[in-house]
Amino acid sequence: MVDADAVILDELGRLAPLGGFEGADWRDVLRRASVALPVTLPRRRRVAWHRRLAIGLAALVALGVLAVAVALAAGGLRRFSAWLTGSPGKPAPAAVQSGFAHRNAAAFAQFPLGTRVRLIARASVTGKTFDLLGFRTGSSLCLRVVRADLPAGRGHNQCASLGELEQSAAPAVVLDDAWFSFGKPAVSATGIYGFADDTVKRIEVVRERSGTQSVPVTSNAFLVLIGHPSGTAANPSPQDAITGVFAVLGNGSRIRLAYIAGGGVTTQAPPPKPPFYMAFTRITPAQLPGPTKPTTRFAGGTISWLSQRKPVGEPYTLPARARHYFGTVLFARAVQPDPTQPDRIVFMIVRLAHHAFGPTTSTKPGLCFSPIEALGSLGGISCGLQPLSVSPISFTYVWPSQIAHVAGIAADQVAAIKIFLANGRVIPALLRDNAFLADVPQSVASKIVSYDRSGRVLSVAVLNSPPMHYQACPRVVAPPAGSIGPARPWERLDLGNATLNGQPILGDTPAEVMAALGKPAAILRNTVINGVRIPDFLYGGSTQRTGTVQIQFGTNHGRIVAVSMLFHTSRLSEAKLGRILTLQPGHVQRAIEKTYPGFTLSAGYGTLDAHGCLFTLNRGRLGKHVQVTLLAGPGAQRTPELVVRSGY
Amino acid sequence: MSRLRDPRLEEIERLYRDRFPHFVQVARAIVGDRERAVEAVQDGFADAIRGREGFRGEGPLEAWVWRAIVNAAKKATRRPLVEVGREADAEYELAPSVLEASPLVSALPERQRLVVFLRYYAGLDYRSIASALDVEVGTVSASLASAHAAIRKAVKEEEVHG
Repeated sequence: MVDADAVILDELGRLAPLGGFEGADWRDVLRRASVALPVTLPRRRRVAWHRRLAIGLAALVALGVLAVAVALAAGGLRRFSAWLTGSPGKPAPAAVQSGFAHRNAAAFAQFPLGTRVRLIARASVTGKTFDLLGFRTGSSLCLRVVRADLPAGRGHNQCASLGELEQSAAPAVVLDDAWFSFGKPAVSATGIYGFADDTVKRIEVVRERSGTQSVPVTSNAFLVLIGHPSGTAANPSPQDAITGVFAVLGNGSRIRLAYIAGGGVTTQAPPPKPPFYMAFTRITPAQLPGPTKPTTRFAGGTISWLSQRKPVGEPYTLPARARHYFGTVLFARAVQPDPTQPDRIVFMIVRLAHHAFGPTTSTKPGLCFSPIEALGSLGGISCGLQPLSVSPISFTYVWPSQIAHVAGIAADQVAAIKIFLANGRVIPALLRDNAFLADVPQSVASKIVSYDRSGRVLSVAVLNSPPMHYQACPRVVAPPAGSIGPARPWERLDLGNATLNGQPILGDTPAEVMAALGKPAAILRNTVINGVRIPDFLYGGSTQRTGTVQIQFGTNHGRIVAVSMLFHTSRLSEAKLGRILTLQPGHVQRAIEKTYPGFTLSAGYGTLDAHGCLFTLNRGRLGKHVQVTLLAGPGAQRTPELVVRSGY
Repeated sequence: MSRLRDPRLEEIERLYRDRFPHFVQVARAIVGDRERAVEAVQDGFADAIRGREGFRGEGPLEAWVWRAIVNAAKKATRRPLVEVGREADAEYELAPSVLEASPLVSALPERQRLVVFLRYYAGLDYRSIASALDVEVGTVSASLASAHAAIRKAVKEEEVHG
């Protein structure tokens, strides 16, 4: 007898092994899907002056103003000597130069033709060589990481303005993540690259599993890559999240750098404190220097050259793929606000496809804009029927980078745009032909302000605030009030063998579940599969709000069977761990790992971003798969909630 | 830019952060290499975000997102000329690397192949697979049974002839 499951698993393991989170970038997804939203003034809270002062001081300290003060007191601007002299590294080999020229020629956001790249460093990882290339164009210092054997490849490309680097709070800046995947079986090379000033000798990267990696700084730049197998379906490669990036100075001191993971990274232990990973806090305009509200009313904006379809900037052709999504482009031009920076902003008049932004999308011609980053062809497209009718500016970010490129469009009425940082710096945006750009460090809270020709404030908005804010995860869950009654049959769980009241439950039919747990208080029939209503059993209460245990059913080969069990009751009693929903979530996670070593932790409680308020453990595959998830905090309907589900 | 809280967007984000490797794995099985698979996943999620208002709750949101990912991956396998104006139910082209790595699974008809991917890589139940591929649950069951039968037959033939 042929075991088809085994054959399929074997083939699928070769075809596409389960990899890690390399390439995950939620912000990139948002960028691709973005819709222009008006810049509005966040509602100002009434805060007593002394409390406001306390908040302001706390924010400023947290955001590194002291570091800036120390840095500036110690000797003014940071120095990047190798770049100031114009000759970092050495000339790139002919093939590398040719590859860059090929890629540059094919890109919309081009560097000046004839740009010469320099070879800064080479790293060999798992049999592949990677080049760290550098070049300067105007005020931009640019780095490019590319496979040595594919010099015309897309690679990873980021630029930062010299001014921004010189005024950085830290002696080194991680520009971006780099990741590559190649070979059979697949191997991944992942890491970071960036700039370091003259005082930095080495960069150390600390990873959760593989420990510390140290690389020398070469010509004020660094590339840190590590290789690891991409894993197989049966043996996935465990994540190895970066948990620390340090600059080691010539005097031996070690300074932690701000770092934003590319996205989707999970850590098994709680992540380091900000500014590492930059946990954004809610900041109001009043807590930052500069104007706090408009001083004049904005009655509606226009972009005259666009409405008259004048050939400003360069012609632009939207890639076919994007046309398919967005509709018919009636007019498109690319504007380069700063001739010394490659970034362009595309203005388009588009007759949107009816499905472009959901079923309510109007198909009248509207204005869309899109930033194009270095060597790229298109960023996310932001559209609004009349985005400038309600707001003087609309903007987006070119991510990922520790120094964000804020890119946007401005109405004719806007004469200047400035970014005010928490540390007191003011960055003027480059504004040309209604397009603007600004390099803004993400480690410092900031706000963007637009002005008219008379210097009156048209709009104020905080950068990096609500969209980047993730709900805080409670480390401590309040214990249940009052006494807890004894566990009832449906509240006696054994995670060791995934049983409830000593019965398997998962995989059982409704009749078997009823025989094991008794008659439910209510049976919900909200799900219909092939015309058959699938039940959910509620125990401990007759509604989803009052029920304490819910058994959910699904179908398997035509049979209706239980597929998951949801518990949200302090009465829940686990065979070895007792009343686990009265314990702190982190403690429950560790206790399950220790007591039931068959479970593997896939996301730890209190780790990054959206993972913050749950942990997930898995055991077995397919028919024997059991997943345990505990949700606590703002993401849960009621706190806490334990879910045990099975792939039947 | 200020944004209002959007629970559905948050749920899609949670899926992304929880299951990114699995989405990439399925996309890679379709497109043949990881780089394009990541692109497809990014595009698929962007599609899902753009169209989230159209989600009517007729099945799990995860299944609905899977549909977006599968469609984005299928689109990525088509030649640019074919891409414009053609919709997701067109057959996708198998990359040579897929044929080489997985001759038995590659030999399956497209629907069976996708059911296999979603079942084994993504670990979806039949109902979710049905929702992701916009077919009946019975079709999923039948497709998986047919896939198993075809693979058993192919392996037996290999043993006899080979």
